[in-house]
Amino acid sequence: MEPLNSSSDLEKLRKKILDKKDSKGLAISVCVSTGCKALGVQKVLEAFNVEIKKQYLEGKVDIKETGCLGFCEKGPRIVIYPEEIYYFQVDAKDVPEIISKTLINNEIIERLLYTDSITGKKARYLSEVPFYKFQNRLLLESNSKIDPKKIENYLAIGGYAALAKALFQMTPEDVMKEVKESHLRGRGGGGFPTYIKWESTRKAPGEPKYVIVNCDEGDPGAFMNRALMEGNPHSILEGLIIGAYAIGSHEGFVYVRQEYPLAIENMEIALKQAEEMGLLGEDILGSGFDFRVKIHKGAGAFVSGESSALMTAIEGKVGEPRPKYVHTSEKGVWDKPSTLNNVETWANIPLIINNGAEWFASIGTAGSKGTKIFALAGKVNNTGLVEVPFGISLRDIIYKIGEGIPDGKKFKGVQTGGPSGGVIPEQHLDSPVDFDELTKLGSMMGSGGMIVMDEDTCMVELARYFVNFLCDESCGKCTPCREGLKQANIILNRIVSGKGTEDDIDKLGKIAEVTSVASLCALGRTSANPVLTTLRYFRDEYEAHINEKRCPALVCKGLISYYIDPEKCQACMICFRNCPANAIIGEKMKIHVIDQSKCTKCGTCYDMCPPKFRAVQKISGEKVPPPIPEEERLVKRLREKKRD
Amino acid sequence: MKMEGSEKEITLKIDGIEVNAKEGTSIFDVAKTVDIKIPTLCHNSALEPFGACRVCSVEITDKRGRKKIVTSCNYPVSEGLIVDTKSEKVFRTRQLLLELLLARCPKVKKIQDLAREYGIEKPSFWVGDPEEDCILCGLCARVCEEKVGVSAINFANRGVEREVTAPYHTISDDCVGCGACAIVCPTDSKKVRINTYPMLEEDIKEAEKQFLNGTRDELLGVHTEIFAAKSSIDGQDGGMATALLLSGFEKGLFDAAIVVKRTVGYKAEAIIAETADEILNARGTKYSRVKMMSKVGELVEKGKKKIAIVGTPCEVRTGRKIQQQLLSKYPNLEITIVGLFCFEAFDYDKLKEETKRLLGVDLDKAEKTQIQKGKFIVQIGGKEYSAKVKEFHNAIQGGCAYCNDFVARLSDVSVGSVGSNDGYSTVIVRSDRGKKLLENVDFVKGDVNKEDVIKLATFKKKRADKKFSPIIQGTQK
Repeated sequence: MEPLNSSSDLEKLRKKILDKKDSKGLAISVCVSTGCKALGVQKVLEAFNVEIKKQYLEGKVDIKETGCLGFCEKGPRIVIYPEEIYYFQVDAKDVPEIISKTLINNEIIERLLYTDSITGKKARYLSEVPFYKFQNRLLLESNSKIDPKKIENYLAIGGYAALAKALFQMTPEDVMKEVKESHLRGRGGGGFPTYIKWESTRKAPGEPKYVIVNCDEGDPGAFMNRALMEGNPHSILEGLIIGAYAIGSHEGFVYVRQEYPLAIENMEIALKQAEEMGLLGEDILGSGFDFRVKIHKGAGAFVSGESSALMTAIEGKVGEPRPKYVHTSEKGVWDKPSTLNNVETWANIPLIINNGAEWFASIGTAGSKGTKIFALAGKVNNTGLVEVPFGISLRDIIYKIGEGIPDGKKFKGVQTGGPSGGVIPEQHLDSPVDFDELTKLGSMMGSGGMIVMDEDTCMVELARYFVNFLCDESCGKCTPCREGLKQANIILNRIVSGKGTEDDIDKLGKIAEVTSVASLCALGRTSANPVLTTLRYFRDEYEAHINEKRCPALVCKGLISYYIDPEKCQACMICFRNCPANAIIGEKMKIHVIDQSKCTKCGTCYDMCPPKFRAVQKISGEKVPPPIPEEERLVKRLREKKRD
Repeated sequence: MKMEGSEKEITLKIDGIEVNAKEGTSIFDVAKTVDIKIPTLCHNSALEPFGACRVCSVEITDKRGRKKIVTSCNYPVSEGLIVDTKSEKVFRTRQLLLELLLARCPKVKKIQDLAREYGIEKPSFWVGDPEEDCILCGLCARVCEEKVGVSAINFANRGVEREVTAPYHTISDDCVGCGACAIVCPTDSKKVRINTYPMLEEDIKEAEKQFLNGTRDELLGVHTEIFAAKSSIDGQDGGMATALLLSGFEKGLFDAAIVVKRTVGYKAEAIIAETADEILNARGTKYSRVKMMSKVGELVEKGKKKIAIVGTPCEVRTGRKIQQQLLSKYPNLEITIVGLFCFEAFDYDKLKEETKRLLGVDLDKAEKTQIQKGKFIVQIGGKEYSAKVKEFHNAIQGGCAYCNDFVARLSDVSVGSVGSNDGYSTVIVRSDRGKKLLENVDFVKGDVNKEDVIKLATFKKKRADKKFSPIIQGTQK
């Protein structure tokens, strides 16, 4: 097609697209993002295509392949238009029924609707699903409405209108002013004011200036950036172009980790389409503004998400951080002024330009404006991506959106900010989600990882897990991070295996102090947070491990034993048969006993023992009672019978 | 990032002393001007600051009154900056860093001494390999990349697995044996001597003692004889290198030779010659460096125990080091080395580019190339094209400027063009093995001008010394 040459060209095209769209048209949107793909959505999609042919509906139904809606655990997810009915956990064999009943006859298939885990109520519309009801999805909402591979879809929901507005109705200074007044802060972790970063690059001497999208999402379990880039790449690109215009940059990079193939694919398509339409490249929309973007694929090192490391990687070198005493916004890629923002930050820009800074600043708290996407995971009933306005309490996220802790267990803590963040305990659950509040609690916003833990989580083990993760992911360049993490890992391993010594807590504290002040980059400086927060809020657990050789959560293998309660064992032989170490002594009618010398503490017996018996128990910090004498091992009910 | 001081003069305070300095200079450098010594393990003033060891940490107070620990080697000074190099926090930070490093390298004296200054005698942390002697400061890798320009050694792996090594943990084909890595190493680590071959003065003397005999000349090296010769082979100059190889081959001094042969166009590759024909086919000088040393390992692995190498001084030097290492494993290994005079070598791709630019011809079509009387001559279709060698400086291989050996002083016999008339080669005999090679070789002797050889050898050595001087000055040993 001919490139668009003006703002009115764009609007004409938009009108054409909208006119063509039949508002009453039948459509099915199917989430084809990574989460649903893993759950087999491809087969569902194929089934729809086959069935549509079979029922002679070709050309009458629009099958839209869309991005992620966040509730991945309930995928594959589909939406049926025009009624906007949401079905979850759809299987290929449900497809014929969906078409003949719901699509054609507006008949609801109850079993495919979302069932509220607490009330048991069926939810026909998304607004009735608790997981969605309390969200404010400014960014993620569009994911269900567009096919990310089709720029026309993005245009149909108003895409690139913000770009046209910026280019034709605003000067770069106007854009800067808008961003400043929006009080937008970086979504990558630190929450640095976006305006200040932009202004610094804008004013820094040196050409060319670069703008960069950071999609090197590395927090374990987090996928906010992936969902946005897979589901709505144009929104990120539009934000980037507007930013470039404001900053005075003509070259940009999108840094995506190689492990996100679909995000890369969709972004590549987006760039190509935008270029063909004249929304990217030379003389964008006839405005005279030139801007080009390259995709840089990262090899997936966690540390490459750190801005200076990422820029070093773009230069073609090993992605290792370098000192930032002079900010990368002034001397970044090839020592040129470079503004790097997270995917989510860029995606907010079109919203701010379209709706105005005032609107944006009206959402959130005094210090944190707008919404934030979190990857809610762990011991919580609903897991997935949640987009919430700043200021919402952690409790609301976990109990209203997440619908609480499974199996009636008690909440223990929530880890925010991934490996660089910390654990926040029960007493701070009513704290508002806000950059500064989370930092005050010893944790941080991070890029949006949120892991909920229940009473069965050992906080020492948790700290060990994160420290171990960072040992692998530290680049190893500077002494405190490399050697400090190594030693912290050794100490924590010692503690969880029951060999901790009295001065271990002090040593951990000493290491934490030096890593947090003397490390080269933020990875090192924040690496102690998991240790520091668990020490701050759960010091008693460390002490129990070290002094009493007891793991209060009954998790640490080195400190627990499995024991069969002779009063409860019914000699069902299940644990006996399943024990991989042949550590269980038992026979029919005879109470089973665990040979502690053979037991590997794998927990199979504990998991297999029928819930009605609950005979296998975990004990910690106390001696395992001696096995009952051979002659008394006849199971209780038989013993009693005998006595009678 | 480079630390560039601007022209702007500013005033700052270091440990209460008011100091004037150029804005943007590092705290470390400014402190030096007022005799405040800051310890460091990873800094060398000849190289860009790296900020890895963090031992040079100091405490600064910024304009807003906030205190912060920063590394002095790469923190740029600005107006009004207040620096404290001795605060309690600085002491504690350095103390723990040194304790961590001592736990890593418990036997390294440099670390022991520095740790003692901060009150640490023994680390309270876990000690892994007690023989570990590398603190991962990266000086070796950085000098090799930033200065020498060959990147023969670098970091591998990340996090706690990080180490310094040659690529793939195997014999480096790129190492020129210049020794820069060993010179800058603050702990004299063994790591720079595994698969890379720093040849310091003492290493060269040791190799001379082990492999050569004759009188020692500071510039020509150990030798018994130097003369000009012309063989019956139509090779480079007097064709002596090829003649010597053929002779050694016939006498059974070796059964395989690593020689350099043109493969596609002018591009040369090291090949293994196992017949007289293969040796003859490889005659003629190629003024570029090729990957050769890994072939030695390959041949020995294959069971060959009598090997010949023909190479430039860097290849001879690294070859000898490899020989020393292999001898401990294969005591009956015999290596004959024919060395070639070399002032500097070219990088093939760059030379091709420059030949096109300067002479307008395609290097790949050259029948012969020659450096003579300061000119690089390319012969194509019987016609000669030439320009001053100096003009080809862009095409010079990294590392050459750091090499101080013109005459391949560790070879058994060296051969070159400088010092003899057209059609003759200059020959320097350095060992019994070299003598044996010459026995029964059919050649005509000519006049040799020793001064010419010495002149270039001096020039090359001086150039290398000049290059090394700032690096040596910058070491914190």
